[in-house]
Amino acid sequence: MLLQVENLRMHLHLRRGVLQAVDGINLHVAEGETLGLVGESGSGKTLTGLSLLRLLPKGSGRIESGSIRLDGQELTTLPEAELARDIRGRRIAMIMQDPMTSLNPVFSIGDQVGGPLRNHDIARGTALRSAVVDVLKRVRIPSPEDRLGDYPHQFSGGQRQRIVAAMAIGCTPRLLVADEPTTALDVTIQVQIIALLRQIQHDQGVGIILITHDLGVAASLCRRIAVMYAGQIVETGPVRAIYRSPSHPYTQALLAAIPRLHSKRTRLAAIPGQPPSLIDPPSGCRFAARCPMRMDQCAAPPPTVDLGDGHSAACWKLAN
Amino acid sequence: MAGAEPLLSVSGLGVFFGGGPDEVQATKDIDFAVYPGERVGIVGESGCGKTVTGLALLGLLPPATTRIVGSAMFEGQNLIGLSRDRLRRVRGRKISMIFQEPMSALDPVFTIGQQIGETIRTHFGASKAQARERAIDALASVGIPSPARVHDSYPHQLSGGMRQRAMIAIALVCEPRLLIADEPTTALDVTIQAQIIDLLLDLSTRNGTALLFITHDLGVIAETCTRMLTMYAGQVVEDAMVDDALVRPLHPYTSGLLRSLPRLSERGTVLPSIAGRVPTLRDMPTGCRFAERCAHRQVGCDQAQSIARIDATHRVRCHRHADFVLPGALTEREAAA
Repeated sequence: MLLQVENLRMHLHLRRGVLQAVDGINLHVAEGETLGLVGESGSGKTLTGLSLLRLLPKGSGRIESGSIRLDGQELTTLPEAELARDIRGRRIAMIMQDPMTSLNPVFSIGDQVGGPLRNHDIARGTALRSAVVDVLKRVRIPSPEDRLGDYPHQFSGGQRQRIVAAMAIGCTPRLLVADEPTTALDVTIQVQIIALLRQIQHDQGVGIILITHDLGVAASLCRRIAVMYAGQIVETGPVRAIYRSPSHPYTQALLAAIPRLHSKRTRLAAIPGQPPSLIDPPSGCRFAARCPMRMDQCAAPPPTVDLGDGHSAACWKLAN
Repeated sequence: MAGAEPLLSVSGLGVFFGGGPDEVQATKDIDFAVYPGERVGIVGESGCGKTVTGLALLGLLPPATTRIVGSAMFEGQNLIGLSRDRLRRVRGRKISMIFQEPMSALDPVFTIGQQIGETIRTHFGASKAQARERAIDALASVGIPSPARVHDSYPHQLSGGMRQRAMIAIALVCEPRLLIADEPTTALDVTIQAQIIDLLLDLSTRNGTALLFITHDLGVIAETCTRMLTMYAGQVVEDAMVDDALVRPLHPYTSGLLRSLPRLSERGTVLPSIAGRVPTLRDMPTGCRFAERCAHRQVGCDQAQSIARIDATHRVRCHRHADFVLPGALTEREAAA
């Protein structure tokens, strides 16, 4: 298995208390596979992604327990210097939501795309230049050799996201964490970035974790998804199984809330309320307070129930 | 809607920015009508002019750097060129607007109650006590669980969904005839978005408020609106009933936009993408603005395109519309299901 995460807990130690941002996550990604990590804001999907790279909020973030193994190598205990040298940006790369926050406005594109290749000692001099041109070609920047000296603002939004992707794949990582890579883009550009990610996966056999709140985007790229709610994975399985028969009440509510093109004028099923605070969250099911199927049992932590075919959900209703 | 008088009738609306020799035209020849109680969506990608159109109607564009041509008739008066004083009497009272980011519309140094009360006192001359009572009612009507507490809270003390509700309450407290909603749910999570959409539909059905819904999200349009205007590069390229547009779009851009939507039901299908990009304002073609990216381009597309009426409810800005059948987001069969 390319990536195996077991019982990962990452908490934020804040002045007002301990925020259980990532609380007992299990997931795995095979070579060349795309796993969708879906959920709403604050569900912990981005912090899960950042935890894999140990990019934790300074001063407050701490991995409490659990294991992250990349090609069998344990990352949670790896010294920071080794992690920075061999893993971060090298074997695991990340694409962020807003390309303008990943690109430095005062450095040329050639400099920035070449940065990771230089830092990881992959290429220098003329070899570096041709490696940069090559990777920009792979993400379909037209005539890259003429544009190495251009700055981020001279590119369109879609092109900037391609350049960020080029920075990420330059060192041929094993795993790519893409955090809302299409969210800041218009739909017609979004389509192009989805096609690009599919091409990267196909050409390089890289494993991808796609973090998104958009189930449509997840459906078009992933074979498997994991649904997060309040710091935990509540349901995971093949995309088709989850869309056809969502089993966790939260997944059901999430799917019902998506505006559809052909369900017009039937009311969206709005679930009341909001997710709980993750400082002292309920000790039982974290969705219980909003759940239409709540029972007495839900005050205790729900078991993860195997539904077959790699599909599972954490809910008391399914255990009975 | 035949027979009824439109509530809002926009014609030849165009917005210019910059002034002098550097002036650019952001929108051109915008024509459309909204009937009482009707829910109309404006869709298009960033920069197509949908927000500018909404802001122009309410006189919210900076006057020093903006020139507006055309007219927007609302209850017998032309909103374009209306004096500031007269516009203030319309704005917030007859027409309200809600925005994508509630924090940019709410004033951080006043409580929600003070902000909502100001609207009530400006337009109705109510006493402080009456205003408070009415404000709390308005907050309750948008589904805020403890309205009295929220009334006395500052914006930063509320969650995103609650702030959006508070802004909607302010917009609706005077029971406007028309609500312009500019991406009101874009910054929200889907479960909260569903709550806000329910609320807007409910208020529009109950009070007969017409809705002009500006969004890039076609799913939201399909759920909320009966008619949709598609904008491209500063122009309306298609005006159709939503059901019609989703299944039988007549403009190649509408078709391309609809087909680029990722669908929950299909995995691994390659979504068709539209090549190229939107022309810039300084470099706008004189002919069809979409021609350069259009797979159906032909002789004649370099001529300026007027918007043609196909039937009572469908208009399109493409001289070739009769030459082809374009795919939409749904097939006839899916739409019937």
